[in-house]
Amino acid sequence: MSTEGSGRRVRRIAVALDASPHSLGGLELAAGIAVALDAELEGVFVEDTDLLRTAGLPFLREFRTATLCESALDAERLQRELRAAARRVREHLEHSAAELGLAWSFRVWRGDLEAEILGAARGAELFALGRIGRFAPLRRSRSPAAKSRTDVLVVGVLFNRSAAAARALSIAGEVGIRHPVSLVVVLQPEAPSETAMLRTKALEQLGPMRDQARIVTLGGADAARLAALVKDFGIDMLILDDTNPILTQTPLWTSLERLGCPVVIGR
Amino acid sequence: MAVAPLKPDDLFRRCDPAQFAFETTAELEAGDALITQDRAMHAVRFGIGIRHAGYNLFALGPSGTGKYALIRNALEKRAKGEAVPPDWCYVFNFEDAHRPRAMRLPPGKGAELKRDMGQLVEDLHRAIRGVFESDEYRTRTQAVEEELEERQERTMGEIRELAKEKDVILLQTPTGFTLAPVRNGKPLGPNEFQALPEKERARIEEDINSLQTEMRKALHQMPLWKKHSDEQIEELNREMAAAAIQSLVEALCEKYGELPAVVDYLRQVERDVVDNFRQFLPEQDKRPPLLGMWMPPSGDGQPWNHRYRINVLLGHDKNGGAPVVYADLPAHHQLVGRIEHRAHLGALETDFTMIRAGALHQANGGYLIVDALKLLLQPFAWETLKRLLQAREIRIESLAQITSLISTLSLEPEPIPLDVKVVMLGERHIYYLLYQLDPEFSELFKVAVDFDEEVERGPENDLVYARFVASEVRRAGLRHFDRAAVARVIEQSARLADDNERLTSHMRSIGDLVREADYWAGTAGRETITAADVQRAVDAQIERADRISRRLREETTRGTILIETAGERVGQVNGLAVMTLGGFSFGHPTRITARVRLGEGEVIDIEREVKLGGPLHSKGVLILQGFIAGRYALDYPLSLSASLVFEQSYGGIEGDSASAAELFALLSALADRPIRQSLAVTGSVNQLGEIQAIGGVNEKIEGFYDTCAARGPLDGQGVLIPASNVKHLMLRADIREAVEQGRFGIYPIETVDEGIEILTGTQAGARGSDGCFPDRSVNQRVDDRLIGFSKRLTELQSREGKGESNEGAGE
Repeated sequence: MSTEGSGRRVRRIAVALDASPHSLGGLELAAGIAVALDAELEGVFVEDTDLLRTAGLPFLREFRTATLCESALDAERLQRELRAAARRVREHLEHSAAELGLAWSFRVWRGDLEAEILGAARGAELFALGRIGRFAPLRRSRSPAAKSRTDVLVVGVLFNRSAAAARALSIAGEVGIRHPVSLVVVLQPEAPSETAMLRTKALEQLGPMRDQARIVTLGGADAARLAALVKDFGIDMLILDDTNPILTQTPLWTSLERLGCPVVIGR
Repeated sequence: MAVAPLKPDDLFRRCDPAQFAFETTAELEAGDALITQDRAMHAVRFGIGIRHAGYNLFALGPSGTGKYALIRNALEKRAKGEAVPPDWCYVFNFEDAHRPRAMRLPPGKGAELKRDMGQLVEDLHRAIRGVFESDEYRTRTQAVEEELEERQERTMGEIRELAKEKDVILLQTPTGFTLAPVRNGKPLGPNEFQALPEKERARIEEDINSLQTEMRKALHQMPLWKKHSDEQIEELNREMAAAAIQSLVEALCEKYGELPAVVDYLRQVERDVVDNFRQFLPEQDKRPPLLGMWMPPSGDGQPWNHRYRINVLLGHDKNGGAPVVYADLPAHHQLVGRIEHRAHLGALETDFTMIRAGALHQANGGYLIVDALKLLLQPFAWETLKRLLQAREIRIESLAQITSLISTLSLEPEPIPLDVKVVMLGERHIYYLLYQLDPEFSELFKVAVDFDEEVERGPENDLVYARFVASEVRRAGLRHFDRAAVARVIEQSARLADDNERLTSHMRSIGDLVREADYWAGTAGRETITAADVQRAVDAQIERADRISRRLREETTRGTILIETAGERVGQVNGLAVMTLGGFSFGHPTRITARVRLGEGEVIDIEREVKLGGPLHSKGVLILQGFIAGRYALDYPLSLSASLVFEQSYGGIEGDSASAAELFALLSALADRPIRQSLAVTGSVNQLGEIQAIGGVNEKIEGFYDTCAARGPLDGQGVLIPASNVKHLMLRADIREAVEQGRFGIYPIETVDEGIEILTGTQAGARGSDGCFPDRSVNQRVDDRLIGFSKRLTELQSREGKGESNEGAGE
């Protein structure tokens, strides 16, 4: 694969975590990429200060998803619970990293969950974000054998004419070299006339990996259409760069909720 | 009339080798080579032919008479032509795992079904995995899941939108979420909230309360939606599993269409597989994680699909006929089968595949042969056998269950119908004891097959014997017997029967003799066994066993045991006793003495007085008292006091075979006539003075002969035997030779008078028309002596009477 546009080597991969199974799924994917890229794995647990701030309002109720119980919001309790969740996530990260022989670090970031999360991993070249499942406990476990018959990971990558997008494609290619993956390159032309050029550029950059890649076109930066594409192609992980219009035009959480798969943001 | 001694030909009945048309047993066809007993075999045929409850057989007779071989042979002949019993299998009971079901199948089908079920399980793994990995299944389950998720997200989205309209957002907490008011996209803290106008605060609080109510409603709906979705998935799972198994089970149902029990079982399997389809999926899909930890499968436990196995308890060859089974160890669990256990994680566990068949299962539909003594020696085995025969079903229960020693939960296999003919083998006394003491015995064992110890001797049975010898030769790979050797075996057989007109049916003894003769022929370097080898085997058997008889003889010769074999003595006679030690019988002489004096008519048997005499011996002594009282001094009270004793006898004495000798000693003492000590006597006597047959005549004669021969050359010694025992004589060749040379004599006597004449050399004398015995005859002397005793007693009594009256007058 051509390394054109890949810029520099990925040394650190940050992963945003909370206690939900979905974010732990994101951790597993990030760990897999870290192994493939021989990078350090950094866990970032974000404590939402907005949540703590609202805790003083007496009429607010907390609805627990597992038990459906309700309780008043209590700042101290919330802090204790957040610390417990962070500790649990750290142990999980430590365990995963030890199994895979990865260098790892962990930190807790307190701030505005949505506004600050992208800045939380400033030192990382890649930032993995699992879908935080607000209703995760209500969701079923996997059906008996309803899983892929192969272990091939379907990796989607958003590609436009930006240099950052070329780097995202490069990262996806590197993952593909070390892991059996099926690449889905999602072209984001600014105009229909740009599609052919982007396709050519992508194929050129993919080099020998072009045979295991599929190329599709996404018109515009519509998160809903991207979500449908993710579903149609069975994409397990989506890689995009931090300048991608998807992130700028749609709130991050909304995008994640719609996509339904972990997202890896390249810087 | 004087009794003549027997001639040599009377002492032994030869078997003429010339009667055989063969030179050696190599020319004989052995065949079954069993010495049949017609009466017993009629009973066997009746017993196995009658098919009603309780008509089981008890073959009674001494061991070694070939009961087992004869009965087994008869049963196998009949069983060959009988229907092969069904196969029996135990299968899992899907309704109650502790009560495995018994399944009856045509012969040979058990193993086939087992193979088919094993294959079915393998096919099920493939088929079920296949359907659950199919695109169809994935698509359909995802559709259901997405429907749920969409429903949830739609509801939450609606609430989120509603909240947004009212400047409220959803926030995630570590364990759930909450609703919070926002201004400019930021949640409001308490200070900011308090800074708002009161009206605004009230509105926000009202909005949030309203949204929380909506949220509450939605949240409480979600478990119901999930439940409904789970049910849809489960229904889909069942549909997929059923689709996977249906064709496989249908194929088997078609194959076993004529066996409703199998089809029913297969339908149960089908339902069970659908209920438990997850067990056919890869390991990680079977077990839900426990507290987040994946539980590894236990390595040594039974695989789950164990339940679909077929435990072929009993399989038959469809061309094999009915079974004939010998229970060599008829313990309770060997009869009814057992349930094995295996240790797993420190506990004992079991299942239906560990049910094992017992002898009754194996014999079901056929015949079970069991040794009565072995059966009775096993705890509860006899009770169990009776109970099962009465119930007509085999219920597998352990002894612990029967005796309530343990009450842990165990298997209770479904009982199997029992249709078996039991043949018990045992000694006669066991049969009679069971008959007398166990009321159920006669209900369950109605056919007695009584085996005789002897068979008629004649050309026909001689040939049967020859065939038996030939069969033993072939079975044991021995040298062949020439016809003289066969004849010698037959002669020895008659000797073992103690009867020259009978042959023993104790085949084990004959078999031993045949094998030992082969050994001696080998040591002599002969290719074919001769009569000399048979005789050598007989002699060697005696030599190995006769230590005690030799010691007794030695002590007699050395004078420790006082036996005279020459001269004459009053009131002393040589009696003959037989001892049996370790299967070897031998005779030896015993001195019997009698002393008489005036008394009150009692004959004292010292053996009886010291309780060394058995009841039969005591009876014999009382009989001779009756004889004396009935023959002598008829008009006088019997005024005799006599004592009889077996000298140097220190053990118990039983039997009445010495009663004649005791009588001769008593008559000698009364008549004061000496008895020839060169003669010995055996025989019992009745009150009429007739001499009656006794047992062991050959051993007794040989015992006295050996005692005499040990002291030096024989000179007219001999033995008086009952004339009715002559047909039992099968004496040794050296005795026959001594008799021929006149050095030894055997006198068959029929009456006391014949015996006393030989012993005393004096005429016995018969009572004449005048009521008196001839002068100087033995009887006359006895009569006179007893009359003399009586008169003397009368005289003494009258003298005492006078003395008493004088004393009275004096007073």
